[in-house]
Amino acid sequence: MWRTLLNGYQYVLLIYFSSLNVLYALFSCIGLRAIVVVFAREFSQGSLRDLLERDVYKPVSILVPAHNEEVSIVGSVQSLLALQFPEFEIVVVSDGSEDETMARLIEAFALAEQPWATRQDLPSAHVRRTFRSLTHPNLIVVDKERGGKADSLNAGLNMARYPLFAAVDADSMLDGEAILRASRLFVEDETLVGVGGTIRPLNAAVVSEGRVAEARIPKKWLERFQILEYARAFFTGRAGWSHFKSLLIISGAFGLFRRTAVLEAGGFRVGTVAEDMELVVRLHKHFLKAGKPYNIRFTPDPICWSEVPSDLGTLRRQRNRWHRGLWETLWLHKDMLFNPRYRRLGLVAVPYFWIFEALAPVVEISGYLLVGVGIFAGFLSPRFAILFVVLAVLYGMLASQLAAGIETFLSNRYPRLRDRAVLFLAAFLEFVGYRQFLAFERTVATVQVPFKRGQWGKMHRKGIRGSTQPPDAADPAEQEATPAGV
Amino acid sequence: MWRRYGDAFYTLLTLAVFGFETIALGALSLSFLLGKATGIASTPVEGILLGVVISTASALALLGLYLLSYHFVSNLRDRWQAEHLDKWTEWWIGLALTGPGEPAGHAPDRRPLPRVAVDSVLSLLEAVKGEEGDRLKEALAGHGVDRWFLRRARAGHLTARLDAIEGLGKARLPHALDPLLGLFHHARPVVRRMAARAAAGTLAIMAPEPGPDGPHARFIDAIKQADLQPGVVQESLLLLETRAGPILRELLADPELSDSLRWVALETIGRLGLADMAELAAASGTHPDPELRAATFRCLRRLGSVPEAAQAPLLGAVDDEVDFVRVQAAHAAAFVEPEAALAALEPRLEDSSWWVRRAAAASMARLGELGVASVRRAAESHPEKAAREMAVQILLEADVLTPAAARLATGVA
Repeated sequence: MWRTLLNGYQYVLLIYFSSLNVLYALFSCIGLRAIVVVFAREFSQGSLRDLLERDVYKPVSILVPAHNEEVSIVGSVQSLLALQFPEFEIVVVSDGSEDETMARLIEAFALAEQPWATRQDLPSAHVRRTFRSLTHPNLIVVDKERGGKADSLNAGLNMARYPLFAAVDADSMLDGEAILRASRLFVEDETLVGVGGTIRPLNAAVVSEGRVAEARIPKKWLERFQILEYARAFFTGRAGWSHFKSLLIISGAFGLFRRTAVLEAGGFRVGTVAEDMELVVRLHKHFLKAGKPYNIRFTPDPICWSEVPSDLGTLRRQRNRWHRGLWETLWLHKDMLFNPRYRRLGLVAVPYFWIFEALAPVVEISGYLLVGVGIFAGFLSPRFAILFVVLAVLYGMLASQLAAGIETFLSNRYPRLRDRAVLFLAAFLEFVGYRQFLAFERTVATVQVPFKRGQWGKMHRKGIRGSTQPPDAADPAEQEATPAGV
Repeated sequence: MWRRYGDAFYTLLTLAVFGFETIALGALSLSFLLGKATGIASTPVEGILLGVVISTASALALLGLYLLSYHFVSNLRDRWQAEHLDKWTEWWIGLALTGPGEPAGHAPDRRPLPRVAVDSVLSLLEAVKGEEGDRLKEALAGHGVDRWFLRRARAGHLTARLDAIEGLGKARLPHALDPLLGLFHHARPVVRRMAARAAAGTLAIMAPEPGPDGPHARFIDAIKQADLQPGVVQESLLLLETRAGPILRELLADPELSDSLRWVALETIGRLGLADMAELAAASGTHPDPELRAATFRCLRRLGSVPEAAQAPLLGAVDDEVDFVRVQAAHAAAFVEPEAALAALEPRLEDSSWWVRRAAAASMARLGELGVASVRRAAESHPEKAAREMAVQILLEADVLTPAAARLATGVA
């Protein structure tokens, strides 16, 4: 009986493994085509210049939620103020910060408190004070009571004046042209309601005048593994889903949205740890239900640099939160699962996220256990088990290399030949403990979902440095991007 | 931002990997499913598994090798390109300035020209116009670059096609206009978009030829018939620069024009600041579609002038039933005679829409001393709190009021 069950489960695992790897490869093909072939040519430097010279853009409000960000907030705002975009405002929302966040902002940007005629499109925690910079008229700072990230974004949305808004994490750094590249898509496509950009790890990068001057490979393997994870997630996974018009995630670290669409859908949901993914899923749902044409897409060109954790503790907490966020979102919108009303989202994308993302760590851990039990019980030959493990590692490496390969086409890639070799080695080494560690943590998160709903946990940040950063001076930091997934 | 070479081969390699994975994993899964109940570790399955492992390792090695080689070669190529780009640019500048007698050194004795030479001249052509530009175009044609671009734009692989369209857009060759217009109906939206921009850029440097068969008329026909997003049409019309006027005039004169194109025309007139077309634009101020009414008033606001005949409908629209029309009308009212504008705007300080209140107060503040005095009065004594707050906000933004005075006025600690 047990033997039959275990044999059956082996079939399930194999089909699961095969489907997942074929999907990864398919997304790599689509990502490459969508990114290098189309974007690289259509959105050249020349066409961007044309756009700027002829005022073909929509102005943007940049919302920066900040809670106890005293170490990073000034550098982050300075970096945003240096963006190459003709018309934008920055709305920093201090979410009940108890540290020196407000004091540092007031000092650095000569903030003057003033009353503000605010709209109340969305409910938010009480706004205590509003400030405007005397040195930078497009900088507004809101000091409000603690309500969480989503609540801060809603408060920021109430202040936002422009038709588009970008939600940006306080510990992230945008490429100079990021807003321009993302916002031009809204000019061309009136049905577009959201655009997600690419997130790349900032650790060890050379930063000069608020911009990433050169990408560098960090010294710690933990950070190197995350370079591959981000490449897989953004250059292949999101590009692939976007191609199928089924993108379910726009990273909280950087996304650009049409304000009216988000207001129509009810703004950001408070009480979840994945407000970014939840909003995107809700936007899909809202527009599909209303029968209105809409589009949500990923574009590889606007690049946002974000510090990734460099110690196991921070990484563990981050991934735990991401995975709980994924479950929370899927559960909140469980009515979409296999629901033909939501078309390809209900029939393909949402089931994929249930099966290949949310349940993935459970399947992975059970697979490891099964191999052990199989060998011990004698129904799985050690030779077969070893071969299968080798195959899994090879396919994992292949998926990483396909994604990292797309990165080589970027002009601001990891420059040295040695970097490429290091990434190749990292693709192998991540199977020696790293993946298993994360799979375990995500399994734990799966169990914790009902008990830790909406809990973020303590965040540990060191922040963005405003000047040139030595190549190997990466710091542990927690960043707020979404569950990586494919 | 992206390197544009080697991607075609990498795409093929990725496709091959995808194909291989599908077949290998399919075979493996099938052999598992067809195996005996106890034969999961049987020799045939293991044999297939071993085969899949070896071939996957080979694919990985091939991919790794390609990426390392690409990285190495592209580093060298980038350096080489940067060096030669400067040399070629110097050479082309020499040619443009001195005429057909080829300047000394580095002469393009080869046909076809190397890619770096083409890139260099195309970049120059974006800036160099007139006789000098014509000389460069002649040189390009002499080397067959135009024919090469046209051939690839019509029938190349997507990568080559997009590169060729971009090249044609930069070169702005009049004889490329019709082939580009032909691409407005291409099945791929990206080809249509790029062709529209390239055609507009080309038309922008062509002398106007009136008549139903002239290039302007052909362009108008093409954009009317093509499946292009309004934003793309708008970008194209903006690229026409000084040549846009007659085309926009003709578009607006067409009673059959679609609402979306009319909207685009109004937006473009405003963005290009074609003040002489204000009257023509204002005619849409009473259009039944609120989007078009709003676009009309936005256009007039951008032009900074409201024709006399349009003033009454505009001030009437400050009371429009649709809020976004009221917003745009209120903004444009800043360019109407102050007394009449204030009479229409003051009641709007109590509007239910925050945006209308803001637009009304902002416009009042732009109506000179009379307007500022009216906003001040509203800030101090308007019976509606929302109107007072908005008036204070606008005075602060206009630096008429200091934050300290505002705090005093509104009681903020």
